[in-house]
Amino acid sequence: MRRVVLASYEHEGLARLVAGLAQNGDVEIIGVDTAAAALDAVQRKAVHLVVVGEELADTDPVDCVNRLIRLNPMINCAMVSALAAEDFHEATEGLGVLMQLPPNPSGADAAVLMSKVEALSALLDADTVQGART
Amino acid sequence: MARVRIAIPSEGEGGLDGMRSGHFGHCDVFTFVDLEDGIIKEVSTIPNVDHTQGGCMVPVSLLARHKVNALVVGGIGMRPLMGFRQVGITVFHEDQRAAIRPVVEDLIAGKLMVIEDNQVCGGGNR
Repeated sequence: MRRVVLASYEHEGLARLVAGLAQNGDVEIIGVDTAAAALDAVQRKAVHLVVVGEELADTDPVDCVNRLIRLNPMINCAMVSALAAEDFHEATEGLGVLMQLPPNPSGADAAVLMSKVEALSALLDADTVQGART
Repeated sequence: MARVRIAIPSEGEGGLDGMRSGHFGHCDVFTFVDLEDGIIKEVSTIPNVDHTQGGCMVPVSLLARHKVNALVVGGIGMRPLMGFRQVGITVFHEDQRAAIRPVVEDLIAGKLMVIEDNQVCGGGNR
């Protein structure tokens, strides 16, 4: 089972992504609207992925990812962003963002995203790095 | 007997007389320098592991698995730095010299500084 936190002030735009995630096997989705709630969620349960929307109720998305990886660098983050790829790279360099998602991401985006999560999980050694694997 | 393993992100075949890589996550190999009581006892290399965007924890896992104690980088992102801290690998900063040997010698001599949060690359430095 994979557990995904969706952190966004506006969840309607993530509806197709959520539907796509649900089609990718056993996925539990936890919806929150603030960075603070996302941080709380990843401390309560093992989380395999946090998807950060374009807007949060308490801070900006890059700050949210920054706080998440400082709390637990093993957490994979994806971000919804309309930035050009080069600008996105510039804004998130060093944060190890798994994937930039377009606004209103689709079910196909969800499939690509989960395939990246699975590929990385296979590469990482859970015995040496305390990660969010179940 | 104090044993320490130092890792240096390296270009090409690496080795003590090789050259460092500027981008630790995408280096060709890691040069390992094994010390006993501050004396170099063995030098070896391992290939880096291919990884895609967002896979910067892969080298963290790799070096942890090889029982590395210290890493010297010219630059590093916040996420892998947090990862190295989590697994107990101390990260030192040296962004002036490309040759491996003098940097290793300086680390042994205690002349290199542990990297600070405000020295990371990009968006994590805020």
